[in-house]
Amino acid sequence: MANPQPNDYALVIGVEEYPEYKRPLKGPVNDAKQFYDWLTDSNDGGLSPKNCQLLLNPDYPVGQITVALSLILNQIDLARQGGRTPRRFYLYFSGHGQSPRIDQINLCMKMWSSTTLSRLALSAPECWNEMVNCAGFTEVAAFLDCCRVWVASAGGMPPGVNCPVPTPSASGTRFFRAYSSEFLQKSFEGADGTSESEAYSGFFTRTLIKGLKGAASTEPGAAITQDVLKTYLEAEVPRLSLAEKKVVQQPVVEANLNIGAVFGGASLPDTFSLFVQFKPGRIGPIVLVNPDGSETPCPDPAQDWLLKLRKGIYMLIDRGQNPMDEIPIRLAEDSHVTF
Amino acid sequence: MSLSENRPESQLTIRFNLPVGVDPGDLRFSIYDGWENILPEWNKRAMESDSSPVLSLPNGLYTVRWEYADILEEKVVRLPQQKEVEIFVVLQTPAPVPGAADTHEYYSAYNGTIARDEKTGVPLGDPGKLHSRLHLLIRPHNREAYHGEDVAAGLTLMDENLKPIYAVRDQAHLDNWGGSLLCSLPAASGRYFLKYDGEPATSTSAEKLPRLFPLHLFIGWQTRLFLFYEAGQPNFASASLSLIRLDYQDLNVFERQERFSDDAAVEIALNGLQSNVLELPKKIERALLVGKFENPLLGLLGAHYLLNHPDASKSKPDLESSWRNTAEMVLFNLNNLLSESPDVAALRFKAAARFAGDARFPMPVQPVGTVPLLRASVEALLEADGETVVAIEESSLLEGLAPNLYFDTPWATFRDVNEHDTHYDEPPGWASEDWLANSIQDALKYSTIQKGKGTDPDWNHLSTSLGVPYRKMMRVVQEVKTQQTQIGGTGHVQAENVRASHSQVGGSGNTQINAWDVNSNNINVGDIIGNQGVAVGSNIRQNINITQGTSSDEIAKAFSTLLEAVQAKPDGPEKTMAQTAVQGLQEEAAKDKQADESNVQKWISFLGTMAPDIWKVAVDTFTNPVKGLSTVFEKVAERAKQEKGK
Repeated sequence: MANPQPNDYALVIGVEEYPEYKRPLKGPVNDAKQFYDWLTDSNDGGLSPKNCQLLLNPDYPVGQITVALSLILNQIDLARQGGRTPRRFYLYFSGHGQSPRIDQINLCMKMWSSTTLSRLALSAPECWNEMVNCAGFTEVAAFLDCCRVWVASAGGMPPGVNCPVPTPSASGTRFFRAYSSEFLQKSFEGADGTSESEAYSGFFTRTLIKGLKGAASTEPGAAITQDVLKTYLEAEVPRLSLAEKKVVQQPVVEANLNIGAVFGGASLPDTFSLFVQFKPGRIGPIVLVNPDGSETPCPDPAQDWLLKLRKGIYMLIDRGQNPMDEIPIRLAEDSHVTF
Repeated sequence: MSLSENRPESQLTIRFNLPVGVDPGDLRFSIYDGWENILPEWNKRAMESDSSPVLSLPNGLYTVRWEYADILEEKVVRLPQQKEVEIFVVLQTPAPVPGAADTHEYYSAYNGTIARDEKTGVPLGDPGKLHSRLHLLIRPHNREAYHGEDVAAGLTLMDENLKPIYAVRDQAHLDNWGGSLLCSLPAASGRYFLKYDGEPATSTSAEKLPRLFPLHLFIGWQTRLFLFYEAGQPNFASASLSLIRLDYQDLNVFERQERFSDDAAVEIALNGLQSNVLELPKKIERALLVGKFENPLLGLLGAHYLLNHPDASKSKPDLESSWRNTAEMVLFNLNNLLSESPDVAALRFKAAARFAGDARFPMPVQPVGTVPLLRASVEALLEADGETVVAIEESSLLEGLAPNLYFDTPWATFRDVNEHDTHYDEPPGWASEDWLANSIQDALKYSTIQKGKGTDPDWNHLSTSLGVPYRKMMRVVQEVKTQQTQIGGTGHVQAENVRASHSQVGGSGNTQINAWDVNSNNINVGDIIGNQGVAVGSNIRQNINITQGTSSDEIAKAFSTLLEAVQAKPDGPEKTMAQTAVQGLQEEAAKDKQADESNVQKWISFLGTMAPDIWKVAVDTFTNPVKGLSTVFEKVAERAKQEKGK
């Protein structure tokens, strides 16, 4: 469903080349492109590409960020002339990050190093603060997929644009801030396994995109609200990081937008397919336990079983085994299970 | 379908199976229903410590999740078939205690219970006053994680004035099979440091940060420091430090249990301090109620937690009153227990600030010059230190080290900047005060812009934000001001071309420091202020004037048109050069009436050669008068247009 958001703006940055830090990443460019694609998809984020600035491994980040934000402010000026006021500002970053204090997060740019160029990082709070001051956005949504560890006691840089006198509408700005990890904790990436090219992605962004495309919702047909997105990210990112990297990456999501705020135009599909393939020798009886505890008996364990189910936790039980054989299934997309 | 449907309810019991000493009240705990909705009433950090909670829930499937420190696990539970969930927690600590992950029996022999008369080397300090003990264990997570590295490399024990006493290697038992290092020595009470030299980054490994770790040894107590050895270096962020009495008997079951319990509470409290969490471990919380601590470390941690709470005198006066009474009692007891401790002194400063105006908590008059054990103590002193309060002694060791405080551990650890480090080609940049001078110049410049020439920033606020003792900073302020006077006495510092040192501390909140000066690898960007400012390209310097008003807006709009055209070009050398030229034009525009015609001509011609499309936009833009822009631009543009027409 089309979801035009002509009054939304975004700065999307992906940095994976760190020649000075010597710890390159593999996922940020892919992540930033994916988020940019979501933002500019007319059915999802609904932003005009003109309002959405994408920077990938910027060579001259200080200037290029300033240019990008200046262009956004220009677009806003033009929109204001047409009687439109800015609604939401998205800030997305994927790359290395560092936090000297809990309320600071500095987004490391390409030439960043832990020594000489430890200040070559964009201060995320200063970025959104200045953009709010300059444009008076109603909402700010920040998604930061980077570490929040302490690396050097260096502050980040302000964004280049600067409006000492806040726009009056800035007084009502509400924030949604999603950090990919807790303060002083790392964030991780891994091969996403969805393509043959072995593309990498951050666990946070992979979960985020999936969530924004509908999986975060718990009610079929319902939009992606800030609350469901928060719950989804905080539950799913640690699961993914544990499954793929055996580490706990716990995101922190501060959801303080106005009640009713939603992300994108997607909603949870009514049902997903669950295809169950039984191992040879299963004779059952086999049942599928539904989220509410009710049971659906398997008609014939000798044959594959295809079900259409809504999102939720299910449990397959083989009552023919002693003790009973059972596996839980977390269904949030079309899935295939061998049992 | 949702929970509001009428489904019969069943009871679910949560049973905790925790290592000795771990309090279930310190677990974070949450439950999701079968549709992945989180149940708000069961999303909490603390459970009652002495019970197995029983939950009444509608029948169905649930996910039970628990977290303890860095551990997260979850189970899917089916009601009514399942009646209980058992929660197992394994500790992640370098202290080889029961219940810890990766604690092979091999390491548990070094769990701090070494006999009093045993030692691995020469006693530490005055041989006539060996009333304390140091017990240091560094170990890999497990035997499989050890690959023959030199665990003792770069480690030295230092006295309280940072004079080396001896290399740890010479007084330790090193095991080349299991990879452990044990240094257990009778010692004179007092303050010492463990120094790690670190190593610079290589093409295959990240920098190993050099570090000073304070060791406080108290009369009658054994100070035990446990560290993981990871990635080829001791991991100080993993440090587990605890105190046990010298006459402690590990064979006494009660004493052993008490020790484990203390250790677990300390670890949780340290995690909390590190993450700014205000929930105390249950054990310390209970001890706070009576204000007494057998273990001084619990007292220090408890007092910090207590004083971290915001003022509740308006919203909850009874609670505030209770906190104040408890704080008075705790500080009194700590004073008796550890009267010489800089941590206790720091707590007195912290209490005076927290309970300002309360006669029971006067501002101390004696500054602190020695290094505390906890980072929170150093931060409290930095917070208090200012124009009117002297919390950090001038020219003391603490004053010298405080700006180099590391933030990755709750302990007060520092980079030693007082001696040349031979690992580096040059002394680390932050060893000098260049970065401080730069920050002060930035702040002065900003203050001049905001409030006018000759005005000063809020130095108290700046010193706190930078983490620099006030008097140390003011000495540099005076130097900077003197230099300015010698340069021209304008009170305005051009901070371009100031090389940013190894580490720069930026401002936050209201500090408003312009932390822009970066000069390395051909990137040199000065202040960009004004919402259309821009700096792009290599070998570029920038200093855009800050001017408000219509003229500035017009100029900004003119350049925005240009910038948009440049931005639309595909990436490549032509774009980079166009960016450079536009940048050059902006620099001239910023000079207002002082704009140099030859420079404007140079950049316009440059555009004509390298990026004709941008040249056209530039000429079209500047041939129309732009309010506030030097007429030089119009003149050059007109000339360029005519020449093109020929």
